[in-house]
Amino acid sequence: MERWKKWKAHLAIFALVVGPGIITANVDNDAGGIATYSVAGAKYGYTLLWVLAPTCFLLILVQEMCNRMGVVTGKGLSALIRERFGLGISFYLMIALFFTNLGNVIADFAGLAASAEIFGLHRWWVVPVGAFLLWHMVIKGSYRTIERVFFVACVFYVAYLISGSMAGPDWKLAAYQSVVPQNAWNADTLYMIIGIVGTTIAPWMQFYQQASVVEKGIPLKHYRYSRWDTIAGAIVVTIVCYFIMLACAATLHRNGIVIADAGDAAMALKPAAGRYCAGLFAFGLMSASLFGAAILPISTATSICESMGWERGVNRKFAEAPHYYILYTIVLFAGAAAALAASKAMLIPIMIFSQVINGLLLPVIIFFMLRITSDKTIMGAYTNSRWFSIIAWTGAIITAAISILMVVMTLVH
Amino acid sequence: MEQAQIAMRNMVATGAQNKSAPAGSALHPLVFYNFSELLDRPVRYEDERRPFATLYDIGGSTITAYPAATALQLTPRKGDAHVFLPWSAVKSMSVAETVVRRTTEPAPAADFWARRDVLDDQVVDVSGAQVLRVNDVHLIYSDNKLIFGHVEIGLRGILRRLKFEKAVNFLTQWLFDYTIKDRFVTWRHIQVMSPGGVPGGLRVDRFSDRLVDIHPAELADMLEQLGVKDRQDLFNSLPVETAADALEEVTPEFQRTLVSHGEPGRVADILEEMPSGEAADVLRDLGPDAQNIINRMEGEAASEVQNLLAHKEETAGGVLDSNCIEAQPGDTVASILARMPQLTGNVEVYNLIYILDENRVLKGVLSLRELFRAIPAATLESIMARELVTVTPETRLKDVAREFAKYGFQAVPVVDAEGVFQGVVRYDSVLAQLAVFLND
Repeated sequence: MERWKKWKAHLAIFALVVGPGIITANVDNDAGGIATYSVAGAKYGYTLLWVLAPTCFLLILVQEMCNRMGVVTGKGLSALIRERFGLGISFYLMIALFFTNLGNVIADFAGLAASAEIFGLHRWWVVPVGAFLLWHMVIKGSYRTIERVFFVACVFYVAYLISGSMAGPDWKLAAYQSVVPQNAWNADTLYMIIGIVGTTIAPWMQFYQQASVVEKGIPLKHYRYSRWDTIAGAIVVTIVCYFIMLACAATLHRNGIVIADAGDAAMALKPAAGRYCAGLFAFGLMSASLFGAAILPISTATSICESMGWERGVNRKFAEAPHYYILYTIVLFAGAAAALAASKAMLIPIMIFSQVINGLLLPVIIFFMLRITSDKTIMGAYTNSRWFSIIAWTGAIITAAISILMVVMTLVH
Repeated sequence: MEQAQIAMRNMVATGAQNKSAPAGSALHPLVFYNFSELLDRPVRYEDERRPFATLYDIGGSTITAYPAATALQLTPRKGDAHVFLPWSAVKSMSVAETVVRRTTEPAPAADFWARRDVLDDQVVDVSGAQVLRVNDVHLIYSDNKLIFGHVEIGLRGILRRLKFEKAVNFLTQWLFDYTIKDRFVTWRHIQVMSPGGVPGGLRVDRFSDRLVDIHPAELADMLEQLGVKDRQDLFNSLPVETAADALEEVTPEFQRTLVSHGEPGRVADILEEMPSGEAADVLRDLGPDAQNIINRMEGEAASEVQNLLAHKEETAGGVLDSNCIEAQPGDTVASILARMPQLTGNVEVYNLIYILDENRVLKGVLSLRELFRAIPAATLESIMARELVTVTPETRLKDVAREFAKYGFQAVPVVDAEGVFQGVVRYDSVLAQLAVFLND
């Protein structure tokens, strides 16, 4: 009884702080992410499942730092970078962030179009209506309503768990290959592995999670609960990736079907795994795309405004925060327009460009994060411990190396 | 830059400069600098030709409204250690170079450092009640004194520091015949946050003086925009009443952080100043800390809050205001009128008088208007309204709202099963509960 009471108290506090970590991690599985995991599953079967656990670890490592910075300082990452490293660096960083986020938004609207077409809806009305609904939600909503909507959106990822199970995977083989690393040592697989890590740990996530921790006003003494939010988010997202790869591995890979993106995957699943499995997969893609397209423009506008000292926040009216809403509107509608106008062939160079900036930006941001989280004047008693530092620097160097490698390989491809 | 320079000239001319400056200081040429232009420029000794360091930071003293520079921080050419010099060592300063004398005098402790605490950081603009991010600092150099004049917050400061000012100006001039204007705030209205990063470094007295006049909603807005440390510093520096007003206005999330980071004794004082319903709302989500704070609250306020917390938030009992004007049936109009100043002291519902018998059973209600109109010798019993609409502590707020809609009360009395008066539910506390649904 006593123990149950204690648990209830813990759960009550957890319920107050939960949100930023789980939401950020789930948006991570946006259209681009799903595409990468699908292709990985279709092309390499179960053999790349082992990559997910270490990726999850790196994700926790990086996101935990943001979470900590947000709770301890009450400031967003872009504000901290501006204060610690000055205007010049911040400005160019924000330009890079703008373009890589725009690329992600385009990918999300393209994903929305692809999934809508699987259900027989035409892209020319789904994308504009979707964009307008998202725009309206943010302009008229408040942080609380939006968080609630996003929370519900997270639940839709269950679609992947079901479709992954329905695809009838070889559980034994999958379990074995999830733990024991497989054929990693050729250029093709390496490129895929790098793609998985690169798409799972993206620069916007650090800005977004820290900003929402700040906006939620999580008190320092609840920090450890907030850390669980981050860890839970990363684990949930890894499980979802796992099932996406599983679904594609069990059907497409077994039948030797080659795909290029998530829309292909959903189409190809139909003959291989049945109508319902494919439908659920497409539904998951649709909600993920909407989810990503909703959050990325907010995140872009927030980060830039915070860095430049402009009024920001969904709780403000247009007249109070014009820069914020203009930036938000530009990213959202430019993304939707580009996804509509561009043919599949045109989208590929856009995506490559976005991934290259992504890859170049991430090491820089991680380096700044490590510097800030080691700075006593900013973090007080919450600087990185010695062991954490060693692990974090190692993890950061690996992540940085991987993302730079990804840039090089993308350019070579 | 022209407007800024004119503003600065006026500032100096009206004697805002250091009091110690000689009367004829206006005769000295005034030179206008942007702080960002001076940064990392060479510094040399007067008897040497090669610079030995670059300028890293300038420290100021906030004794006067427009601070004067008191110290320099240098980055020596070799090695990482930064060197401090008192301002008295400066012989001349310009964008090209700063020339200093050799001195053994130690640098004084500065109240703030412009690069560390101001440039690129957030400051509070007391006149505009907003939090600003500083893009540049305007300095005026005259008679070998350096005075902090404005902080620049506009786009132009950003462009200048990025070295795009000329190009962008040329473009806007050519395209729209428009020049981007300076946006700056005079230093007199600026509060540097956490100067020195020293614990307790905030100048509490000066700060709170200037902040009490700001509307609580604006104060709340500022609190929400600041980082944790600055926010708590600002909140702690406010007088208890102002802090209570501001706390009512911030969002529940920030209420929680402000209260849970605060010192329990002070938080208890602040909550006592708030209507007990709001105080209970703040404490409701706080978990085990709530009790700790309630224990430090003064007896009556503590028991009121305790009572409210015992009820569900969505019931009348959860938003009860037990601070009302109470009277006995036998009291005369004259005696109540005479006691009105004391009776209304700390009461939100000041225009309704609740008449209770010796068992605190509610007998009637009297409005202020009726009280004024009645003859002074009349007893309350003879003029009070006896047909009463009441609710119980368990009544759901939805139903209370219906009563309000039907009768247009300002407050509805709450009685228990025996008719004993518990307090009232105010119109605004029901509205606050309903407002949550307006967003959806």
